[in-house]
Amino acid sequence: MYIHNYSMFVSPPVDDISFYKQEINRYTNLKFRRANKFVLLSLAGAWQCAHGRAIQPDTAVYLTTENGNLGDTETVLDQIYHKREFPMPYNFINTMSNTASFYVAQSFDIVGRNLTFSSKQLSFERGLELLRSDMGAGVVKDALFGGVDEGSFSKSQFEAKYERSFYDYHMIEGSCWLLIKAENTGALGEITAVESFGSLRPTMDWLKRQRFARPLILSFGLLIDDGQKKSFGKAVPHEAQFDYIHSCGYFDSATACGVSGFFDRYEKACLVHINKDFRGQFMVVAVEKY
Amino acid sequence: MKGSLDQKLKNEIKALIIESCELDIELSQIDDDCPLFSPKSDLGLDSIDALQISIAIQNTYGIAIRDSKQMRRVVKSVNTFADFLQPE
Amino acid sequence: MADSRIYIRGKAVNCALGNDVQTVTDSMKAGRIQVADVPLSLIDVGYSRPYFRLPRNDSEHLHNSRVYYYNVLFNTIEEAIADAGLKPHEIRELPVFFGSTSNDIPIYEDAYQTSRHVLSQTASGYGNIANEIAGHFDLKAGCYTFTTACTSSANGIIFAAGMIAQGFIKRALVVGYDLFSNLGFYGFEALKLISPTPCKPFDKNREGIIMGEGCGAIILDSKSKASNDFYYLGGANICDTYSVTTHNPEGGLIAAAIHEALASAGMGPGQIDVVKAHGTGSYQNDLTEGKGMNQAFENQVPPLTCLKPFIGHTVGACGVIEMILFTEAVKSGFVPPTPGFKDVDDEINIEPLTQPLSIQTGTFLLNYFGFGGNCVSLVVSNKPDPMADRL
Repeated sequence: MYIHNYSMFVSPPVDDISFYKQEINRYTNLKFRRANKFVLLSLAGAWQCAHGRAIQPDTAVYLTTENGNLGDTETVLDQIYHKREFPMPYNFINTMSNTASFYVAQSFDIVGRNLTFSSKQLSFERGLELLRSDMGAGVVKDALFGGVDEGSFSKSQFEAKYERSFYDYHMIEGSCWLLIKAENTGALGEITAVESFGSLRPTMDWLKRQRFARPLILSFGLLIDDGQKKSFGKAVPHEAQFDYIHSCGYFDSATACGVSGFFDRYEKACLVHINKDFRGQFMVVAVEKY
Repeated sequence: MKGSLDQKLKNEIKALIIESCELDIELSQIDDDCPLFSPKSDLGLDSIDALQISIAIQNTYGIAIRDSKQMRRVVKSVNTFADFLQPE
Repeated sequence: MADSRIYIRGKAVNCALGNDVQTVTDSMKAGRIQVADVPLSLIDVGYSRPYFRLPRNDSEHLHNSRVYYYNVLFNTIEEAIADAGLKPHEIRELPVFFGSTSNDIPIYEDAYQTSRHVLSQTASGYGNIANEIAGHFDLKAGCYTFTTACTSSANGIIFAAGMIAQGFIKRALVVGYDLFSNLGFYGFEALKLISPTPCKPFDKNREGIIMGEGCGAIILDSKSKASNDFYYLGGANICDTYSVTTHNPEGGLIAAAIHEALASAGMGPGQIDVVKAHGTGSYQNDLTEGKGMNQAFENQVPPLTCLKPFIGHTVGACGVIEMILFTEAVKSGFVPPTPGFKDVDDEINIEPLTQPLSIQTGTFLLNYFGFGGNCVSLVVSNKPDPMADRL
């Protein structure tokens, strides 16, 4: 899986959706009259990623997200339960988050596989497993692969979900995409590993057996605690750690930002990103930038 | 008065179309008799917009368009909308 | 070839026809259809619409507590696992592929009677239900959640089968689940898609969709349990970018999805014995699906049926549920006719079965289309050698 481009559209949460429309209009004159914030956020990152690249008509879209659209779901429930009115069609249609992956496909006029996908805390990594399977089978050659989430956390919600102090993090929202191809000509880099483990021990054992390219940059997902970071640091000799969550901010598709951020910041290096979910499943993604 | 003869009502309907479909145009740019959802129209509206407008009408005037066949008849133009809301 | 097959090794279903496979199959055979009348009482409109509800106790009527939501889900999965006869270590290794349109919205809706913003403050992501499944059954593998509207669990099947075929996993639990939600019920009514009269897909006088709720679970495995188990042969997912709610009226992308599914199964159009249409009964779906099928099969569409008149449109769950209903009917010797169908619509020219078709084995095409342009077609078979009668 070769990475041909990347995008990193991240910002503090903005209520006025014209902000996202302006961002999209830097790359295309298309108008998205009926789109909501989640759709526009998705489009902004996808168009930034596709900029200057030829997008083939059979390109697939994998939109990975933890929460998808929340705004219109709230609006529709408010219309039904509080205004006691029929939901407005625009709002209702946008409650289905795959409208975002649809508008990405429509705006590029691409008919390949189209997916809105989620996996608690590991949406980006699990989505890559699906893409690897599709590329292995030869059913997908090119893909726009994104991690998109709105910045929707309140303090109490964040702390209840992650048992971490809200004030230790800077909350952002983001739409970070990779243009991934089976073809290597012209690639900026490649995904060299996507591995899943049922617990910590086999993750360590696997990592110790690998000979990653150097210099090696190590990074971690939100749920990897300090003790585990230390152990991984020892197990994987590395030149630097890339704390993208602190340098860029946190949103629920932060892994996507970690990979794009690595491409943005490093040259001729290898990123090893380690993440885990609440069930103690570990995933490692290794990416090389040429 | 038949709705299609009631200019005030028709202006209300136009304002509702512009607002509910998030259009960036003036009232005068919508012709009373022009088919709203045909490719001939400059408005660029489609069947989803027709639904959006019919729900906006329903929520504003409390008059329900019950099925899609009736909807297709009602949403043709500002005049047909007006006559539906105010038959006489 | 035989070694690389992906079998439906176990299955369980809960839908308006009943909550076990035998009852559901018997009800289809007998044409026992039960549809409820649900008033749109949250809005002062004074009318009701039909809806296919799960068989429930009175106390559970119209009320989706968290407990009820997870009872239906876990009971169905437990039965599917038992039906597959999985050993404890095989269960522990099961990845979960979950597809739904409403996800856990039904759990949170009641709270909106008195509060606001419940979902955004308490729900914890689309992936949460699959995570709960893994926790409940103590599964130590990956969770994959598909939210592609009406094709959600059909995509679950495609991707689970793809990962098994590529050797990344040995077997998979694929679940399609949608429970009644006011969001969906009022939303589809707002789109003028719900039929006031019985759902009759492809009929000239069709008036729309009737929605339904249900849960279906299958275990896909490279090992079969019984000699007549169905196996997955191929599938396709492509995006029709014509419109977010409807497909291209010429049906070209639907035809392309069918072609791609057939090609991935190594089959030609002539080898399909029966088609299970998506057949929602909406004006647009039936028109575009009909045109797409006539293109793909060069106007020689095989015998065809629709299952939504039995159980309603179970939205994201219909991928798995309708696969179970269809394959189990065939295993017991028949393909059910499409209830309610009477008059051919000349604009579409598709004539579903009006009488049961006797058949024990065959190769079948299953169609699923939905919002967001998603077009999914699957090919399944229970023939010992699907290539035997290849021309």
